[in-house]
Amino acid sequence: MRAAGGNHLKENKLSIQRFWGYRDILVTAIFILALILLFTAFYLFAFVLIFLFCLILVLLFRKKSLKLLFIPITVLFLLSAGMNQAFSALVDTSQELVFHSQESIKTYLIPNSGIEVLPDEVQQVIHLAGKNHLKSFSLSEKFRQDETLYQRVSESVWPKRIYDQSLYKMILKEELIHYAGCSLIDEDQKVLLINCD
Amino acid sequence: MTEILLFFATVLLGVIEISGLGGLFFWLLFNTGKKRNAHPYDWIDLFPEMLLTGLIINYGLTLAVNKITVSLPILMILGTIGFALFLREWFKTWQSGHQCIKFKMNQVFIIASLIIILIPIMLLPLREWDARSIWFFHAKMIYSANSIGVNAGWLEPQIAFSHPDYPNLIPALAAQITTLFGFWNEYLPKLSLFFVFFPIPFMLFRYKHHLVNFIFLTLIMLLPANALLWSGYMDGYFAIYFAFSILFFSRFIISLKEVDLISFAVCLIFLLYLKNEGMLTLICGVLLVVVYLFTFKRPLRDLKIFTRFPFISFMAGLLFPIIYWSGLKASWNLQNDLQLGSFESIKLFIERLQDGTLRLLLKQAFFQICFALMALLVILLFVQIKKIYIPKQFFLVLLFPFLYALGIISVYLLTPYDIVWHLTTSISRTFLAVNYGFWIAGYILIENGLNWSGTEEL
Repeated sequence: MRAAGGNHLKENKLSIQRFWGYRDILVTAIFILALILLFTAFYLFAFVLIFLFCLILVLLFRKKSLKLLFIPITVLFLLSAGMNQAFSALVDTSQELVFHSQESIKTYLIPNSGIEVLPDEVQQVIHLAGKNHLKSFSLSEKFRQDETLYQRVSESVWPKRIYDQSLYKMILKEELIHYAGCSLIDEDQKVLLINCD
Repeated sequence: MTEILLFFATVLLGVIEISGLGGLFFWLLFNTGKKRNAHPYDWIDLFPEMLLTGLIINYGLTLAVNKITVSLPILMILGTIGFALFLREWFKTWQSGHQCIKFKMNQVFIIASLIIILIPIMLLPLREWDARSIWFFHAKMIYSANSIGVNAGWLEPQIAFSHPDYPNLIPALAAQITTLFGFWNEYLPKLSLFFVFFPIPFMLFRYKHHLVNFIFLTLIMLLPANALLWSGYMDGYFAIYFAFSILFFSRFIISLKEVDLISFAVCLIFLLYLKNEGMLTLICGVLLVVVYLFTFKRPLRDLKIFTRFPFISFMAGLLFPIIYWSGLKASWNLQNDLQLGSFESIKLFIERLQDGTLRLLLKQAFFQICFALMALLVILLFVQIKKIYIPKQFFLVLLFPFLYALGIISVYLLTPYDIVWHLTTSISRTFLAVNYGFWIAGYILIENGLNWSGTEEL
């Protein structure tokens, strides 16, 4: 434990000794290793510039309060946090709540609301499956080949199931030519419901 | 107007039920029996931990009962009893003069942050992949089947893309909310995210000693996660509670108080219920405790804190749901798609160590954490120049994100998927916790620097 007062020279000697204690050596070694990594790693130039900027600030402020360290740290933090999209989402949603509060809350409490974020094809599959009271259906090859469409349909229509053996099939309009032997049950703008009995 | 009132009534009911469940658990463990009131702290101070414990207990009881419509009334009754006990204990401590929850600016900050997060949660529908295809799809499955068991459809080949083996705390909570309202849409289930966010402002207020430091901590805790807090991804909350576990462990090393150990344990175990990566953080956390016991050489009397019956029972209670869920998965033969530990995965691991994949991985990983590392180096340099004492716990808490990063890198080397695809789609989220860990290590250095009086600690 370092002496709290006492001889001035002795205190300086103690502080110099403590500066080169084992932890300080470890920290300095980490620092040098990190510098070596920075100079030999991959996206260097911009990061080295930023690092040098922060280093200069630290050396300029070394005699000042520790609180001034927050300036370079905050710069680094804001560079890394990527706040733009999140901030604009907060602003947009707050504006919507303030100016359209009744409608916003009501939308929140309407069954099956919010599907407008889905691709048109998925929305139309949901619509056709609901309108025709289907409990299960299959999907055409084009739906299956598009992983996003397949997953969005699977999760959106649940608890309706997608069964390959089902006679009811959802196809895209351009695929109709491949299902000439099936009968058309219902249709929407981009999607057809057919029966291949 | 009716809809608005109904909505806020649901939020209030949820907070009462969840905190009440946690409060009941705390009361049973720490406030009954021969050693009633023998503890040197008020467990009411652990309000955020009560909330997290309540979420875990809620999930555990739902798993055990299986049916949502049966478990909900039971949970509400238990939650109400627990909340009544909590109010009674809070009133007693308030009367005795102990200020366990300070008012004035605390309330303003907490209420403001809760409202700011609630708005996008309410108004933005489920859009992102993980949210739609994993967490809230699982919620829809549970809601549709009114069951969290195999009837929900975990074994159906149609939903194999949805990672059905993932933990279901959030999906179960979302299913309960939609069951209460009686319908499904793309907004309502997201209310579950609000209950996961709820403890965070309370935990942040434990660190309000210096205003500048507190603002810095709030920024580094909330900003990096940004839209992940309301989009439906779990990675943001995972990273935040990972960071809190580091903070509370750092505090425990100095204080040796059971309350800090409980905070650390709750945050660490809660991660198990958010993502499968929680298993990795638990392993890292246990390793950290082992390293701490060996390097800090505490006297034996301090180690007894780990072996007290209420603490062990507490841990057992928190771990019961995940153990039960793992047992159910084993009985259904529901496996993780990564197939870690299989012969093929080990073969891939060895190949990737030699074919340049490791270099690509390290490059991507470095890119994710470079700013946090730079900040840490700048702070380290500053404290060296100022000759500020660097506490031992700094090195220990630095070990936590480092071990976790090693674990994540190992998982990427083992993945059966195309590594480039896997990195592109996930590394910014999986390394978010590592990022948080380094920012928190920097915060600990700064806080120590501001508190340092020029003498070494004992």
